[in-house]
Amino acid sequence: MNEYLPIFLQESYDYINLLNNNLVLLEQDPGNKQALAEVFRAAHTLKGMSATMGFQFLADATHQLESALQIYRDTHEPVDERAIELGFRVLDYVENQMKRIEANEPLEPFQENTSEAKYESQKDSSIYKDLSSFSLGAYEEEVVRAALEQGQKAAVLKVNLEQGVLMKGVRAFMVFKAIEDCGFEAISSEPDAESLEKEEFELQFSVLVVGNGDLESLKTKILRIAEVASVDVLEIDIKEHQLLENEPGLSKVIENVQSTEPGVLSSGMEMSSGSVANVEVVESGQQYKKITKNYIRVPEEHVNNLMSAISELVLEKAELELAIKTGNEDVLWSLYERLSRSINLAQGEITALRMTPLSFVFERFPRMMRDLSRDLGKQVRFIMEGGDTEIDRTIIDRLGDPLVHILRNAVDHGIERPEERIRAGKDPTGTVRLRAYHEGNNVYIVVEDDGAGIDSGKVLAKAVERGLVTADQAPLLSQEEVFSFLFLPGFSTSDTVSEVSGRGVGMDVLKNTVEELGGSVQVRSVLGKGTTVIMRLPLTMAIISALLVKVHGLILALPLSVVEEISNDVEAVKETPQGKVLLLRGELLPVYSVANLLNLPENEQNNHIVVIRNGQKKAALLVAETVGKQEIVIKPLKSRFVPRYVDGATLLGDGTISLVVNTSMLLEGHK
Amino acid sequence: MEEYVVFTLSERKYAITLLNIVEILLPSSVYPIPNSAPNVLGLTNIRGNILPVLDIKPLLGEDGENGEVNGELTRHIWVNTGTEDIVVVVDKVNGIKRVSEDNLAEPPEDLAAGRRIRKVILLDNDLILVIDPLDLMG
Repeated sequence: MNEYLPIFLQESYDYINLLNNNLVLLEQDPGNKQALAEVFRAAHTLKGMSATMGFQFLADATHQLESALQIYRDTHEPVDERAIELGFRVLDYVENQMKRIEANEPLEPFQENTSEAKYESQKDSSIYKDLSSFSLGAYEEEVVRAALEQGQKAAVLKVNLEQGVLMKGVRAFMVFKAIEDCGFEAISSEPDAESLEKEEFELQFSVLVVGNGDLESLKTKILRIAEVASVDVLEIDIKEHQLLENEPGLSKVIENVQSTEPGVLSSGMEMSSGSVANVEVVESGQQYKKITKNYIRVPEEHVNNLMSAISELVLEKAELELAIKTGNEDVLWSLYERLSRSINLAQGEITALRMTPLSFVFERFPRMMRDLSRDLGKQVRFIMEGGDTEIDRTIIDRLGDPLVHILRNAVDHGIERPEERIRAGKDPTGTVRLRAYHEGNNVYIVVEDDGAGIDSGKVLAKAVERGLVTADQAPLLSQEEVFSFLFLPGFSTSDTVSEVSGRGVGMDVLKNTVEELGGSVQVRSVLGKGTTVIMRLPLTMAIISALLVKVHGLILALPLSVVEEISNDVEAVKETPQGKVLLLRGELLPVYSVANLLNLPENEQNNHIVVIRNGQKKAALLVAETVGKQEIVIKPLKSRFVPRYVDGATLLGDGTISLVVNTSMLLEGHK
Repeated sequence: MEEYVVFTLSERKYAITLLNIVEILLPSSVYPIPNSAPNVLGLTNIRGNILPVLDIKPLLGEDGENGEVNGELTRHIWVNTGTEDIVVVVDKVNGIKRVSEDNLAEPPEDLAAGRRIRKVILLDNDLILVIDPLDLMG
């Protein structure tokens, strides 16, 4: 539709998050001035942006949010619950409409949930009630306010045509002409100008006018038009106008000024109907092509640094050309040094560009947790820490769903009902803490609750029941091993499948997602005290150190982060009835042939051993050759045609494509 | 009027709307992906974009030597299906045709069955089968 649309959408989502979070704050503390001010600021910007983009419905809905909160800002009284509720509804509405915009669907007007929303307008005078049948959108109100401030008049004209009128459209046109002749401007009408022209109305229509003329003479002039039965002129003065401002029932937006003016009416409409037809053609042609562009916002500093690194590189390239001609090896080597430095600089900057603070995903959680705890009848204090922790964009994009799942679990299965908590001698309000921090090359995201905890006995019983472990072995398992059963597909200790946690991704999906991203996840829990879920994620995925290995003529890249050691000591590999094992410094590791795992023919000597570690599990992989260690740039391959063990691909120096292997996925199918 | 890229697969002519075509290229090296579906020939590198290369003949019910490069007319067509970018191998690219609505028809039942044919183009005594690239995805 518009090149600015993606930016508009992204910014709007940001503002919706901001509004949601501040409304949650307001709900907790209705006197929170700062949150209220923040809500106003954000709502105002959102309204302006929507109006600029021509999404009048959105502007109107946001306007309602402002109107509902207006008095509290003026009176400094604590904000009423119902106003906040209306606020949440407006935000949900706007968010839904955003999705419609993205899907290229037409917008729907904001539907008032009437019972609550009317509370403001109950005290109205009769004249206001008459007016209220003519609804003013944000745009109209803006015009009326401006007009009144300039000492102009504003009024709603209700025109009734005679029974049996023949040319309604023409009469309506003449009314508009009279309005203009008397020094007024028709701002909008109900029904809109187009419907009036097409005669899609009964006998009555209303027009909102502003101007310097005399309302009485306007009335007389309109009455002189043939077949006009009556005209009611309802003048809007300042006081009534303020009433209007608090009116929550702004339901419909009317055509803008130009198209209401009779002079341009017909030609304007021809034009628009013509362009509608064009649009349809274009769309039918484009329906196969739904390409969405992603935008990222980055600090300017990184772009500038990148630019200067690139300028360096360009210079050095020129020098390189010269140096090659002279063939001076010393000069070449020093150039090589400088080139490496520039490339490292560029690499660092571009990595930094890809880093995004976690608050990007965290932002929507306060609202979600509020809704969730309300739905489940629980009291939850939700604390977020470390939202400024940065992590690679690729990871951010995929973290949302798993985190939602863990948080839901914490509220649904973790935190007990207030009465249970009191009985257990705990604070009736439970705490869920979402924490993120850096450590080494990893980012940790921890979700902690002080709820009921997981009964490891129950988990074990279930594991034995499902034949995952024998009753004899059960007592020997460590706590961590016991909780790892929770990540198996379909494994649940909860007796009832709750509506909340029964949906969406399960723990097994969580584990898979995190592992696909090259991280790991761990559960700790103390019965009666609470549960902690710890996710470890790599800082960045774009550039990693990898070990290149050769199997059946293919070069595969294994992330160095999982490689423990390499060895040529094939003697240490022993055949056992359960398969091959490697005896490594007293430890027995399972041995897999990579060629075998990939269903490649094993027609060569696979006698190089790579010991890898996925989380707590170690294994030995047999490959034909280890090529060496190398820094590689991972190109993500999000294609349904690529098997899951492939994390991405990388281009080697000679242009060969090498697959980056996710070892835990590789071993997944062969346990 | 809409433009289509017309190409040949096992002697039969097919078309994809030009809107979904990114580029037509001479084939470059294809690196196999072990354990992938049989019609996934591998990955190719187009100026730093690493894309899966597909043999779409089986999908369309055409026989063929499983995408084997069999002649100098073979081309790679980079297609954006709307959900992802793929490269399909064709025996020959016939050209780009402008087609008006009048020359488009619903495919005969027996032809459409199992072949993912959306429409046919009847032009200059030719029958060209139109594929919706999204159908190539599953």
